[in-house]
Amino acid sequence: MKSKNISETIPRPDGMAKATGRALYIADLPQGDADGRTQDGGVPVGPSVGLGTNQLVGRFYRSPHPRGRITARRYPQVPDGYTIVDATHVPGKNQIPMAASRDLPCFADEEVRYIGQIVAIVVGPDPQVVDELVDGIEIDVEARPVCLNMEESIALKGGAIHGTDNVFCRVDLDRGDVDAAFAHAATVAEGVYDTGFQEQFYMEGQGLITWRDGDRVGVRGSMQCPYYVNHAVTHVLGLPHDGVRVIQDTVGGAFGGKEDYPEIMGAPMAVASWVTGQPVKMLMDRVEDMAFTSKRHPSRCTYRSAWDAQGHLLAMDVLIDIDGGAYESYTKIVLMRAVFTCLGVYNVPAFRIRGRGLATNTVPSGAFRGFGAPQSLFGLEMHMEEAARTLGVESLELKKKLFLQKGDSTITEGTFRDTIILDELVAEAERLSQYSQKRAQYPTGGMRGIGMSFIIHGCGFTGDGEQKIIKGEVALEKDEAGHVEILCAAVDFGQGPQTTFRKVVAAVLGKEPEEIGFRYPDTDRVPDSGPTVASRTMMVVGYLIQKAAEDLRDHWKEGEFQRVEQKYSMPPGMAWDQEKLLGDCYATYGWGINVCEVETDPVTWETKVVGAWGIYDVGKAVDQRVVDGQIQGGMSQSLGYGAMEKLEIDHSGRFRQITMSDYMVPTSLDFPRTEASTVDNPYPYGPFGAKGMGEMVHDAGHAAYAAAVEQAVGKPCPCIPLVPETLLNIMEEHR
Amino acid sequence: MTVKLTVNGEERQVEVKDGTRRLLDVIREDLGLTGAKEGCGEGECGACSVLLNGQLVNSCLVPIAQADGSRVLTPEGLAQTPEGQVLAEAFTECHGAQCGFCTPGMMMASAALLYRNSQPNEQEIREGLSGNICRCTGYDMIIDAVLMAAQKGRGLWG
Ligand code: FES
Ligand code: FES
Repeated sequence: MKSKNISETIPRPDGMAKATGRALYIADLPQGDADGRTQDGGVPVGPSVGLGTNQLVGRFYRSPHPRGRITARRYPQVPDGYTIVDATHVPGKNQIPMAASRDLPCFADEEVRYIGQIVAIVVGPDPQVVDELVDGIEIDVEARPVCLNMEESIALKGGAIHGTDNVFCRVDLDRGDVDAAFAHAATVAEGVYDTGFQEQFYMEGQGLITWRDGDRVGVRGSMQCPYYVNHAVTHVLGLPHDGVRVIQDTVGGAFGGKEDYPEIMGAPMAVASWVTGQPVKMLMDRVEDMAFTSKRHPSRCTYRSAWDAQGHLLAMDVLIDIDGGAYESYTKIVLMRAVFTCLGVYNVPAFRIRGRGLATNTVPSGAFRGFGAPQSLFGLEMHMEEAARTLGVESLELKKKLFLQKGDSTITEGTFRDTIILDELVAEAERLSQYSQKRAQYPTGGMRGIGMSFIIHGCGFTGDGEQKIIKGEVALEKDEAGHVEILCAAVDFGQGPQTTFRKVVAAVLGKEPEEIGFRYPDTDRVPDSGPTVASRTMMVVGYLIQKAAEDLRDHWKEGEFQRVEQKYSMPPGMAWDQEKLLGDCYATYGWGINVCEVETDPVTWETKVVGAWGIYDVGKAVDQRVVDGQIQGGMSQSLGYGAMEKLEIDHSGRFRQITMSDYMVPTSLDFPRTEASTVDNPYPYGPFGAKGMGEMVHDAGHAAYAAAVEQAVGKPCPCIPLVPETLLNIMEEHR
Repeated sequence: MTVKLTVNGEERQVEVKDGTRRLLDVIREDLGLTGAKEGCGEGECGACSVLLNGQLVNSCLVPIAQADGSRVLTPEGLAQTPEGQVLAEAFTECHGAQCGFCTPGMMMASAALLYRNSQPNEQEIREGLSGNICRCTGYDMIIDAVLMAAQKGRGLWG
């Protein structure tokens, strides 16, 4: 590489194909062309990979009933060439295997738990006929009362949906004598903090093609985790792992929303291809996508904190409930992250934390950038504002005294081993935003305010998950002419590994990034480097790639084909007990600060964001614009979450906002430019010092926003989104 | 019915059964030009943007009968022009494209803006792109790209 500094930005290698319309997303793939071509991402195009002219259209028949035992199914007469496929056709197990659960069936069999649950898939050549067949299907259920939210879930409305108590999972942590601390406290602060559903709103809807090739099955399309799709399809079809081939096409955004859904959608499609022997294509339109794919878990956090007469924190007592929807799916691991993040950047001497994932009759909640952290950090940061008001001190001063330091214990009694640079981040945030000066200057309730929130985000899978569950592997291959290709399963859905991984290898080998090959993953070609989730791609997979490149460099043989491989191993000293949830819950942490400045209109209660800042410790930015792009895009999403993205359910558990005109996402006019900044703090086990960062940029912008609104309106704002009606209610309640 | 269009400078004739078919479907399916994307199908996202007789439109809202006899510029056609090249390079350099799904539409909206106003300021760019949703970038680097294209393409935009 020409530049010595890996942070110095390069043009995106995938930029021209995307900007000129040449990049092919699943909906763009040509049908019937001869084999042997590849598309811009380097994946093959042609009839043998699902693109033959015998392709069928697939559509799901989804339950119109929210809850009950299925007592009858009525299928219409099916013309030649059309097929209805349901649970009776599943050759393997009728369940979608996920990282920590298998309770979601591939096809609903005995019962339905939410409106939209997949009961059958209809496939055939003419989309109109397929639609008519879907419309002709009916099921009868023995209906039971619908449980709409966490309160009804706890009250066991209609009886338990899951187990005997509707609790999918619990995560509890304790340190010290919390009751004694509260008994001796001079001051106790308390609050309840709510967050709503949030839609990922990737611009490209879900879309896949499945096909059968003898005893094998293929799946291609829009996804985050090719090997998750591979595992799910092998499980449902009862095939060996090499019996399923998964290919990623260009992905038009994901944000977690394509972590579970390609399995939920792809497994029934694969059964249909298995049964018919033909390729099946399904593209979801925006309404189906918004109505039935997984969303961010709604949450209710209750924080109580005990303080002594000098204003020292004695203890915290925290309850975290998240709404998992109808099946557990990813709820346990979302809850773990919510709990492990719920004390933020603060050193809390004693605590009692009780976390629950609850069942309701709504679409199963799933992964969304941040994965539980945006919920608990909202509760925590808003509670710190509350505590500061109760104690009569400035919240930043209160927080600063509690900052974690190297050597402190983590929430799970592990150790913060790496240098923590929160003070430097605060200095940078002050320099850019003049936070403290503005905070002091704006009178409370004067309709202008500024807020600051703090972020901690564990990088990679929780605990020893990388070692015990994921076991990531990567490879590099060099051909005789010296061309080097990266082989791993990491997906670029916009967050940049096509740029950053090439830079890492190029920097090690002294080449230019554009000389390094890196095709979109095809599980027939690449090892399982794990899913593209959990802020692990750069830090964990990128580090394996750096090590592989160093190995290749050190053993380079001119004119020969060479292949080098790397397998994950835990950084030295890390220890984790998964039973007791004790030890190092993450290998290391990303840190950050968000500042937001607002003006509220006292007539319409509309709030305008007038400034936004994101300051982070990402270890080392492997490409400054890739990192800044994450910071700015994450800020936009988190401000949307805090300010405008309202998603409600109706009396039967359906989402009310299922079109783009009803669900408001930020436009170019809604928020000002986010000033992005990073402070270097290299991590020894990340590539060139890089840590994970793709998620923490969505962890707390909403908290900074709500804190700013609190100053502007002079009232506590403990729930988001703070749309004008909500703010008006808050003002009237406190009149 | 037979519909005549001049697409990216080339005369094309398309047979359609139904004049209410969407222009977006005709250019994607019948003409094989898949640069314009469907993000919502209801005129809210701008992913399907094309220029129709020089005007920026959401092609998912245009019935094909209404486009009969018109000039259509799609993202593929824009890419062939010097202005399109400058814009595409600016999006690439400024990282104005992340997942890229909104990008062809953003390219069309940016071109429409620059043809109208060759040296826009940040606020004018925000207004010019306000009909196009991007979920990835937060828009800031798209704005950087348009500013760069205005700068580097000085003289190109007329
Ligand atoms: S697809 Fe036409 S505006 Fe969204
Ligand atoms: S780059 Fe992904 S939507 Fe704009």
